[in-house]
Order: sequence, then structure tokens, then C-alpha cells
Amino acid sequence: MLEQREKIATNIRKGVLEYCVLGSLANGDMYGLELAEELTKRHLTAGEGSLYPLLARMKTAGLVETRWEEGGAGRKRKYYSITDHGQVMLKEFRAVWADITKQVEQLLGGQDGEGS
Amino acid sequence: MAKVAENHSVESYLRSLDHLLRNVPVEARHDLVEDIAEHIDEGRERGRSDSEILEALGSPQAVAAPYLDDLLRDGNSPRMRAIRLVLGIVALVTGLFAAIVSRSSDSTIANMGFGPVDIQGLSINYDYSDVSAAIQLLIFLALALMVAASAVMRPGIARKYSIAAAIVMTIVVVFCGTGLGMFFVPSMVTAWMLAGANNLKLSHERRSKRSRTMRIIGTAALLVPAVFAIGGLATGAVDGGGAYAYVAVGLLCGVGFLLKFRVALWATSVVGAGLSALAIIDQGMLMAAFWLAGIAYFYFGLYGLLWFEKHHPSS
Repeated sequence: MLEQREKIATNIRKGVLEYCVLGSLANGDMYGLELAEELTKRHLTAGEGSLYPLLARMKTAGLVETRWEEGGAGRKRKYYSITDHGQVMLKEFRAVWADITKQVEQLLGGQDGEGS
Repeated sequence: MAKVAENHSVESYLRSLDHLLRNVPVEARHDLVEDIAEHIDEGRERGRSDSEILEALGSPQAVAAPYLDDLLRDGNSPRMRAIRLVLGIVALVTGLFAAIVSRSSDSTIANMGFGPVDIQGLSINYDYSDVSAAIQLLIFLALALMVAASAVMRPGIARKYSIAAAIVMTIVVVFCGTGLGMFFVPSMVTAWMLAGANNLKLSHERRSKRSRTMRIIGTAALLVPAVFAIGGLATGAVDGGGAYAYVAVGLLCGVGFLLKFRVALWATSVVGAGLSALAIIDQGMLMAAFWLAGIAYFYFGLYGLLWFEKHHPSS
């Protein structure tokens, strides 16, 4: 049962993780670990490591940009920030997401579920 | 990479991640391993234990998965599959063509070889028995099949195999010398083109860079002789309609090649195939020269048709 649930969650996360990253960055720039902890805390990503390939792809797509800043222990930290294009995409996602959740709620709400 | 090497399991984690990414373009591979190494460093600074950090990261396989999926998709993309298929067919056709024409070539080129004395200028001529002719045909076909095979292999295996096949073909050409070896040149060039097409480590940017280099080399190879011919005509060193025709064709192919006009690329290829055929039909002393010039035209044209990016009006 738990396995099924995990499978469903993984599938849904796959599509929204990118926008959760954008949403997090919209509140302020973050470095990798910060972002990973934020998303793990909310159970939005199963493995912190898979965040980095995603960030690299988002950077190539022009959704985020990176810069190096002085971090702890005199080491450089790679900070991620959202681009204008990222902001646009986030806005689009919000509209889509609001519609999807509303429709799904409506559809499933009228059925007899096991309750939550 | 940062100072993460002291712990054995962290080190082996990064090493296995790096190994998994071995076919990924170098920059992406390096960046990802560095990101993960930095993540581990930051985690340690926060007082998380190594096992905690690695646990939270997920397996190296899971981290590398998106890249590996991309690779497989790129390597199996319709465009790359089409390119490999075209090269496979070219390998077969040129191999078959060479097998047939090597049968009909006379001995004018038979005495120009080098290498071990007993196989110098090894080429089939009319004195050969049917058995040895048949054997030669079979050898040609076997080599052509060997080169073509990687076109239908899985990307990972195809890469290693096609490099091996290209090296074998190069050895064959060098070993057979300027006699029989000449006929293997098309197979050798096709083999190296297949080896390039099977190389998944080449990122898109590097392929573009490589095709730009080939564009310059090809343009020079096509235009320089034409320019010499113009010089010859101007000074009166050469004359006749043939020279004018050559200048016209050479200039059109060369300039069209530089400008990536599809029509010119097709023309270059067709002219090349025609020249090679002509070399066989009219076997004079210039046979080898025409044959090689034809091969050069054919393969430059083919390279352009396969790899030059088409003109995109937007972006």
C-alpha cells in the first residue's frame, strides 16, 4: 500500500518539482543544499541528489542562473536565482496548477473515497 | 573538486557517479560531480554525518538517471538513427562498388605499391583465377558488412565497435598500399564517419564546432584546386572547354558547400560519385587521382548533407 502511494507521489512530483524549485527561488536566491533541504522537508523530492541534474537542465533552459558567492569557511558557494523567463513560466504554472487541482478535486470529491 | 576525499564511502560514491556519467558530455559530467561534492561539503559543515548525507542524496544511479536517459534518447533520436543508417548503407554500397571495380581495374596501378614485396600493388586483373577473384569479392563484402554493422547496433556497443572497425579498415588500406588499398579508401572514410556518429560523448555544441571545422577544410579542398585552375586559364597554362567546365563545377560546389546550400551539397556528392565512376570507365594514368578526387567530393558532400545544420530563419 505504502509502495503504491510512493509510486503515485513520485510520478506527480516529476512534473511539478521544476516549478517547486522556481517557487522556492522566487522567495530569494538559494544554494544547492538549502534548496534540497527545503524540498526534502516538504517531501517534494525523494532524493536530494536528483535536484542537481534538474537545476543544470533549468539553467540550460534559461529558467535559473547561477553565481558564485563567498560561503562558509572561505569556500565559494553556487547560488541559484530565478530569471525573468523563470518568473513567466512560474506564473503560467500557477494558472495551470490552480485549474488542475480544482478539476481533480471536483472529480474526486464527488466520489466515495476511503477518506483521508 | 573540493576536499571530500578523506572519507572512503563518500569518495567511492563520487567515483561511481563519475563512472556512471562516463558517456555524458565532459562539461555536464564535471559540473554534476562538482555540485554533488559541494553538496556533501556543505552538509558536513552543517554537522550532518556522511552516511546521512549520502542516504539523503539517493543512489548514484538515481542521481545520474536523467543524464543517462537523455543520452539514450539523443543517441537513439530519429536524426541520429537516420544518420547511422545512411552511413551503413553508404558503407555497403561503396564496399560493393569497390569490390566490383577492383575486379575490372587493369594493371596500370599494379606496380605503384609499397609494403611487403609479394603483395605490392596487389590488385585483381584479368590474369587472376576465378577462385581468387571470388575470394577478393568476399573479402570486400565482408569488410563492407563489418563497417556497416555498427549502424544497427545499440549506441554503447556501436561506439567501441565502430572505432575498432575504422582502425581495421585503416590498417587494411595502409597494408594494401596504393594498389588494392585504393579501393578500400571509401570504406575507411565511411568507417571513421560511423565512428564519429556513434560517439555519444560529443555534446551538441562540440558537434557543431566540429562541423564548422569540416566546413572550412571542405571549402578549402573544393575551392583551392578550382582557384589554381582559374590561374592556369588566366595565364594560358591550361585551356580548353574541360578546364572551364571544371572551374564552374569546382566553384559552384565549393561556394555552395561554404554556404551550406543543400543543392550544392547534393551536387558535390553526385559529382564525386561521377568522378569515381569515370575513373573506372576511363582508366588512364590519372585513374587513382580521379578516384581519390571523386571520393573527396563524395564524402565532403555527404558530410555536409548529414551534419550541417539546416538554415533556421528564426532563432
